Amino acid sequence: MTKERILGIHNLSVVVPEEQGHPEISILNGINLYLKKDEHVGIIGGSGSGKSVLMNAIIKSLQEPLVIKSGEVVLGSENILTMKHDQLNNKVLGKRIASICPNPNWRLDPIEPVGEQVKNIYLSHFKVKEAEARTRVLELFNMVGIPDATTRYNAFSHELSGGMAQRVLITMALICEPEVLLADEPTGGLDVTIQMQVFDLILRLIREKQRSIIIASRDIGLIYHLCNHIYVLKEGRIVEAGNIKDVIQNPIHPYTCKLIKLSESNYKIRRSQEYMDLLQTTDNKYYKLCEENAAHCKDGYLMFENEHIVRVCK
Amino acid sequence: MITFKILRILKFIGRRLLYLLPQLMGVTIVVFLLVRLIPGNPAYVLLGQGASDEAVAVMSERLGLGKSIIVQYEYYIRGLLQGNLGDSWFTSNPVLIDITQKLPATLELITYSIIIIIALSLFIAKVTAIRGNKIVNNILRGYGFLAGAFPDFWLSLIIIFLLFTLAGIIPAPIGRLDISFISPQRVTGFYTIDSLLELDFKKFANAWSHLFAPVLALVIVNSAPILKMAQATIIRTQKEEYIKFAKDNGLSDKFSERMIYRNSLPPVLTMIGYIYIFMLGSSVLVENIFSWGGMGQYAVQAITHSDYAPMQAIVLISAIISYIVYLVLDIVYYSIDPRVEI
Amino acid sequence: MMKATNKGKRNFFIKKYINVYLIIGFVILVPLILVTFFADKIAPYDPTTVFSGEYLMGLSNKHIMGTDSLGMDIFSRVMYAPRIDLIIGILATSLGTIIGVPLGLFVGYFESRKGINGKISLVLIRILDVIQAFPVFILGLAIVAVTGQKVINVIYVLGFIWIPVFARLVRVETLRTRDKLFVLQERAIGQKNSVIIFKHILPNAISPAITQISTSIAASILLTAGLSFVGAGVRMPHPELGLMISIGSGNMITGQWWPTVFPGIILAILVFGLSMIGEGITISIDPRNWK
Repeated sequence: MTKERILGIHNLSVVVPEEQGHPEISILNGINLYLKKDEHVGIIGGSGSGKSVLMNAIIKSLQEPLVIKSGEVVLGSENILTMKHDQLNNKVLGKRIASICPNPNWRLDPIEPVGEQVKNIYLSHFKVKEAEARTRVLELFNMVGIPDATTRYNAFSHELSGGMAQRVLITMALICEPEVLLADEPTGGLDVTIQMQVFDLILRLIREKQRSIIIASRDIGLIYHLCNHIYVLKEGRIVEAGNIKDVIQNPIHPYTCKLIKLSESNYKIRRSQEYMDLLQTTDNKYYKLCEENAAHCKDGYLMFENEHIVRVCK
Repeated sequence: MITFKILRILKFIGRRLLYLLPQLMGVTIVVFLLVRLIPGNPAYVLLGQGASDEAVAVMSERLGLGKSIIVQYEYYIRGLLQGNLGDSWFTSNPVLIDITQKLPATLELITYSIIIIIALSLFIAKVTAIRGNKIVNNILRGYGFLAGAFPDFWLSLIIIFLLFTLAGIIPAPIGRLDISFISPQRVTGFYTIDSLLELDFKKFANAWSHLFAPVLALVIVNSAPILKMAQATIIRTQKEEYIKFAKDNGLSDKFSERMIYRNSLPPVLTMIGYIYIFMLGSSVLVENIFSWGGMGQYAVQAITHSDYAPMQAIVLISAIISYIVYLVLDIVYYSIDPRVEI
Repeated sequence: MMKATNKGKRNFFIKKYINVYLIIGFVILVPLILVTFFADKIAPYDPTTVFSGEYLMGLSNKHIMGTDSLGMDIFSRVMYAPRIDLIIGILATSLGTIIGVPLGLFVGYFESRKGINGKISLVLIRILDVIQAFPVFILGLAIVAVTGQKVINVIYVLGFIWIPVFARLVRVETLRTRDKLFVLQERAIGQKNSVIIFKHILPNAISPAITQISTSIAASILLTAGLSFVGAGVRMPHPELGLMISIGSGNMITGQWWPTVFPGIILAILVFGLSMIGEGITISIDPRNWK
């Protein structure tokens, strides 16, 4: 039984437009990504690979001077990128797609109690009485594990710890029950112990509510445990994609290999000659693969079993 | 929830008032020393040129001259607390009486001006910054720079020339009311309010017609820095991360605009307070032109005639008023932004 | 591929530092300053010459901008007048900067620290607060009244007024910078306070002060004009824009507009040009605006 596709990103390219002083700079190049119902997709890549830009682009929320050059983002049957502001704001954002971000404390209005901020998001979409909205916020606070919810409702963002703030952000995202959640580095900027807490929370939410999530992270461990599909992003291009177990256990593209190997081993080993040789072998295997299959590749990508895709052209 | 907040604010006010006392003392010290800087016998200085020797002797006694400076200061403070601000030899009135007549004139002028400026900035902020129309934004910026470049006294003269000499729309710039009117019974000192209280609508209208030109001049010039600040702050706030995040999760425009406003308020408020205090001083010029009979004119008169008692009192009163304004500002700040430290 | 040519570098420099405001400011100010600098060569008459019998004459070939009620030629006076205003403005602002910036650095750096410096800092802040409580114009009037109406006193007064402004700006930035990592590192290795302040904190803290400079010069000019207007600034018969407006003020109402209008326009142009430059500099040194 094929699950229905909820979100489809087709050939998305984001650039910094050409100006005097520099030519057009490509930030994202031909991204294709698909999210099915109840599926959890992970995007992995180093810093600067374009993960955050991608997350922003999906909801057409790019900061200047970035511009969408081409492509579509299809939610259900409509292309988000062609929607007008009103439709996007009222129907899609928050209600069907929500986002969470790293550095949670900075994402909250510093002069308003956090509970009120969540409540306002709810009130933006549902016409209910204030008291009712407030109750709903408190419900959610309890659900994400914010202790002493009623007191915390009136807290300000600078009074909250990183983990607490991130929970508030998660409430803001989930309060309208969206179909898709975009999580950009949900553990970014948090202490390691807090990261575990947030991780557990997301895991629980995934299991309980069975939403579709796209998680972007540099943390392979996070993605490995939370997602069933993974896309590897390097310098604005998808270089490898497929089932999580497949890709992690049999990585083909050298970049993927490096990401995986370098994250799991400890620093001393990483520098040892044995290790370097191991990486070199993987590279060689890859180049041979490229040569052999040059004829079969489509748009620069080769497809293997289980929809395991690898980019072969430079 | 509401009472909790009010309690917090009351505590804040209490603490602030405690700080106010030493600062006021500092002000009185400065003012006290100011007159002492003038070469010569302070008694003579305060009494003016034609003072008789007996008068000088009495005054010296009153000032405590010959005793230590600390004791003199003590005499001064005691005098202040009794409401003795000295006497103006030029008007032959106690300064306190003069001020109670003239201060409301100035306050009426600048208070109406600041109210209009605030309304203007709110309107401008809403219309332009939120919508983000580039052309309108640039026009605003241009106005900010241009209008702020003209001196308000010059602008007043131009306005008088255009609207009175050429067009005859506004009344002659010789005071707050036409000569045919008697000033209304004094309740607040504001002619516009007092005439209403008297139910004299003709007088009310007349008072406004005289207010029109000076207020116009003050508003045109002094709104410039505030509008610039408002615009710049709103544009800067719009780019903040918390705005983006909330909008990305579907926060409606109504709410996000409110969020932008509230967060843009502090610097704009500071500017408004500063301009109000500034106008307290610079209204001197406009008052002169319109023969307004306010503190400003009083100050100029005092300077040109070396009348130092009023000078001293004016400086003191202005400082006190500015402290009050800053206190009010801080209270408003604090009720908006919980991060503010006391 | 971008070529790293010399021309490319120069274009880059221009794009980086120059903007509309600077251009407008220069276009306005440079001619004005040149004219006033060479006024003694260009102006038709000496600015204080009285043309007896030619009072309040309108625009004519002999007096391009007419004469005022004292018989002086307005055109010549308008050419000379910016000199004094600019001099006062620049000197007053310099005074404010030279004293205010180090003051701000000191106060900001030692604020709420233990030891004698911390205490001095506290006292200084209170003093600055008290000074700032007085409305600018009234304080100016009062001090000039007390010290006498001389140009040098006007400079002192205005400079005195700018000191707390600059000090406050620099203090805020110093407070922000002093807790940053690199400063703490310097202190940890035992670097002398004076070195830290001048070598590390100053470059950061000074940028708001730089933008304040042109604002202060412009404001000083307006204040000088105001003081002169009420008779507490530059004295007769020197050509000064505010003073000229004052001389002409009585005549406006009877329709002789030229003694008042021309000095006002020049004053506005001067101030406008300076604000343009100020805005240009602010935008120029803000790295967020570099492409």
